[in-house]
Amino acid sequence: MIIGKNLLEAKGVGVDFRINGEWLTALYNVDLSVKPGEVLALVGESGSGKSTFAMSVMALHNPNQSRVTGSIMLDGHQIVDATEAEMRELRGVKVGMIFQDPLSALNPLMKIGDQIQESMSAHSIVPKEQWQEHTIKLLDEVGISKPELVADQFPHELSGGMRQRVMIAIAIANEPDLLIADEPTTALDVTIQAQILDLIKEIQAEKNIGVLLITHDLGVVAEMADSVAVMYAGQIVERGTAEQVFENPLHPYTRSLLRANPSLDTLNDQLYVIPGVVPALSEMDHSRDLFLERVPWMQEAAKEKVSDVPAEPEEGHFVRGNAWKDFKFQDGYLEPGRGQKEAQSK
Amino acid sequence: MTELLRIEDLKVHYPIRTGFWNRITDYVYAVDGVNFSINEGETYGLVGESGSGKTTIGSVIVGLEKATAGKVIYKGQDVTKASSRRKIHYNRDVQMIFQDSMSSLNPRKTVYQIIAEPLHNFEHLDNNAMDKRIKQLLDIVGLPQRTLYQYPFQFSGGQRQRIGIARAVATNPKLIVADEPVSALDLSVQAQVLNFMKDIQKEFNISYLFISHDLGVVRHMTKNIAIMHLGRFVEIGTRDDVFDDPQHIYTKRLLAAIPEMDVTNREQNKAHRLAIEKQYQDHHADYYDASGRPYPMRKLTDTHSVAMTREEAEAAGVASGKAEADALAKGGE
Amino acid sequence: MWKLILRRFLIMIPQLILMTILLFALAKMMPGDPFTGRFSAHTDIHTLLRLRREAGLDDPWPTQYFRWINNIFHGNLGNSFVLQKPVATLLGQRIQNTVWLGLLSLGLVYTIGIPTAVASATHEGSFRDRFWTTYNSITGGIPAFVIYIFMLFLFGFTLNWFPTTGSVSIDANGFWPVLGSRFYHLILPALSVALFSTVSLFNTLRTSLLDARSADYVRTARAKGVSNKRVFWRHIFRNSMLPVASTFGFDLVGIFSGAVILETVFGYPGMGRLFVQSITTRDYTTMNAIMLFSGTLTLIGSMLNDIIMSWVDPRIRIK
Repeated sequence: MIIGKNLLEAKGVGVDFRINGEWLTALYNVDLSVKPGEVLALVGESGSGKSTFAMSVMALHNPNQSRVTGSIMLDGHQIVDATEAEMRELRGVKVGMIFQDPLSALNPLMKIGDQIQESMSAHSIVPKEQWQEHTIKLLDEVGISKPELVADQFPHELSGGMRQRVMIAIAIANEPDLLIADEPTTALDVTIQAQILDLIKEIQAEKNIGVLLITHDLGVVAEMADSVAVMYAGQIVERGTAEQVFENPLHPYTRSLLRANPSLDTLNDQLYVIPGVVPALSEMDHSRDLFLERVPWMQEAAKEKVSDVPAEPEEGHFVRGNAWKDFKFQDGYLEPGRGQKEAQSK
Repeated sequence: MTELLRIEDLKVHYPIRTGFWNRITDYVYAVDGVNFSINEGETYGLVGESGSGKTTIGSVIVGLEKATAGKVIYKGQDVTKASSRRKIHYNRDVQMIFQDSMSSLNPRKTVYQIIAEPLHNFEHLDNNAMDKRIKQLLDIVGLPQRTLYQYPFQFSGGQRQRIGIARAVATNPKLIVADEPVSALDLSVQAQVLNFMKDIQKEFNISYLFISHDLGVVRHMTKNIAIMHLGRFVEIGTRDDVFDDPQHIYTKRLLAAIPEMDVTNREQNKAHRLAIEKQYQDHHADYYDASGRPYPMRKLTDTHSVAMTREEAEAAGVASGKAEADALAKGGE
Repeated sequence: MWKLILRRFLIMIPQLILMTILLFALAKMMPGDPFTGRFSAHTDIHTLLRLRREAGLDDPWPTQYFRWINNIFHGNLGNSFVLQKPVATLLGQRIQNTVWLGLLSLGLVYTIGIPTAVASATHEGSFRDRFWTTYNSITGGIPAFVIYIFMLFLFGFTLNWFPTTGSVSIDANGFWPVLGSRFYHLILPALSVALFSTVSLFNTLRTSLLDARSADYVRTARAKGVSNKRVFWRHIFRNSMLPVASTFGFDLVGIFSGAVILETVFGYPGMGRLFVQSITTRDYTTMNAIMLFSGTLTLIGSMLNDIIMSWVDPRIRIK
């Protein structure tokens, strides 16, 4: 594989779900790419579509209730129209995945060792006589101190951090090129979170794999990501390198999120509040900049149609719509706290 | 500054039963001798990781759990026993907000019924007064009147959390125990709830015991902070004491583990974190006694206390962690 | 594991003692005694009183209770006052019949219930699913005795395909003919049970299959690239059988409680029918023995459940 070539390349990806007989758009025109050795963080609040994207890369949506359009290329394989049999050869081999809650993501009735070996038995990459040995090696690699003992244990006998380590061992059992981590540390304590993030970084650097990190935690993004994509209501509103997005955020949503985070500057003040809520799937009109609906003084701009081609104000830094050009926080409107009550209850 | 609630040497121990006859062989020291006090109109932060015992302390204060030993003193009166609480309307004055607003609100009840419940229990209002009070409460938490007869599932997470707050403030409480009140919420919604908690605090002079694992949120909300580890406090102080001048290795470790929103210095941050982690691993025995628990506290300044190191504890003659544990186990049988 | 079984067994002892006291009290509280039925204008009241006294029915209750318990320990369940036979002998034959009928019905319930639930859950919303769901909600809603009488009337009396009473035909001789005849007598009652009582098994399994399908660990398995077939059997089906396994002990015991109506309708000489007979004739010794037996079985059933659960579910396994 040539460095610089994209490992994962998504172009114009859309996902529709059938809900009560109606097709609703959950993901619209998503462009993303991950290079080998790159950590791309996909940030957004719940319902923004970030997990939906991850599931599309794995092709794990229920085919009867969903349809995926556009193009997702994974190391030269087109995923959007791949058959289930073709996908099975890619899952675990080209791309491994870890999830938010490692307790429910592990089968409670199966021993740890068996669950890791199942990864190998699904593919013929590791020869059968090496499964046992490889399992121990993997557990050791993810920092579990007594691998033989742990392989013989059940998930409930391990701590949360250990379970997530086991999940990582499962995901990398067949040496995939891409690791998708969907909120990998949200259920963990902060000290354990740091350890798991370090471990992911370490594995990523050592094996030069790409990581698609899905999270709502801006701190985690700032510590981990090489590049960042910010999602809102099923669309990417801004993407660029981590420096670009954190040092020079452009889109009103990115700027609002960064401002809502409690920090040293906000110590005795009220926090910045984004009024309103993310619209329901059925109320998403993706031809507009949906976030502007939540900015009281930009109601006019919220009605405008927006181009599907993002602007690129600096190289590699993309932003959707035009609102970023003249967006300013208005203290009159956003008098924090109770002053916003009226605006929110509408 | 008047003291509202004081916790004295609080202990909550759960027996561990093992063996053929299910005999008590050991105890889980969920909370093992903590002291602190909350002033009127102030927010006290209680920080710790899962299993540290922070939630247990909150449960003891609101009466969901019983103390094994120690005292809860409210406005100068001992309210450790349930009977003594009734006399001074303690249960009306002390309310709780939970982390998971979905499961802490009865799904079969309307917003009206949910908020009315504590009023039924503690105040004797006629129907008119009740209606008026509930509408007023809805107004306070910023929900429109038309939501009165809706059910919890019809609301977003942030709105549900505000319903939970409306229920908690219905009886004009003096103290609200908030157990991870924003952990399940998105950032934008979290800001709404935190602002709102601050607003009603100012307006009604409410005190909070703010229990959280999120140091960023705690720093934003609280004046005094206690850091808890393995059932004991390792450090108590004002916000500045704890964040700017952490003394205990565990506090340092916790602070170092918070992801910084600082892209340019991430390598330094990581190096610092790893250095602290190494210190924690290498010098564990200096900070934790033979049974693995932190040593007793010592005062540094008027506001700042920290758990002793082994040296200090030995000098003070209080290093007998194991002996103390054994004595307790015996006493419990 | 053995420790758990032993401890579970020891817990049963006080439960058993309590049960015998309750049973004894219950029997004593029922109106009448075995001799009441023989009372007519011609009976000599003094003879009856003498019989009562000789049977020990005039003794104080504690004496009677301890005599009963003492006898049980010596394997003596007493004599049936009415049938004039040792209760143990009476029970022996009947239990065998009931066990065969019960095992066959339970086996049929599982062979029908499990595949239909799997078919339903794997094709949720399809015609198959709707058919089996409707079938189960209808059959589950009809009272058992109505079904038994209907089946007996249709296949026994009208179509004459199956015998309508007894457990073996009188003219069957030799091992194979007797076995065949026994089986022939079992088919109709067993089928009547099986066809109409899959509802709880079906619903439990179908629901837990549907739940498991969207479980996180199933998603993990699919993300590994495991084949759908293996995902289904290793993860979905296996984990969904937990709630089914957790009631197996009670299902086994349910054989005996269900037998009362079943055997009465089909004229099948098992324990259930014996029980009904003993109640109507105030045959305390038989009645008590049967209640003691099925009570003990219930306790064993719940012990069995605990053991099965700790065996199949590592989360509750005791070290």
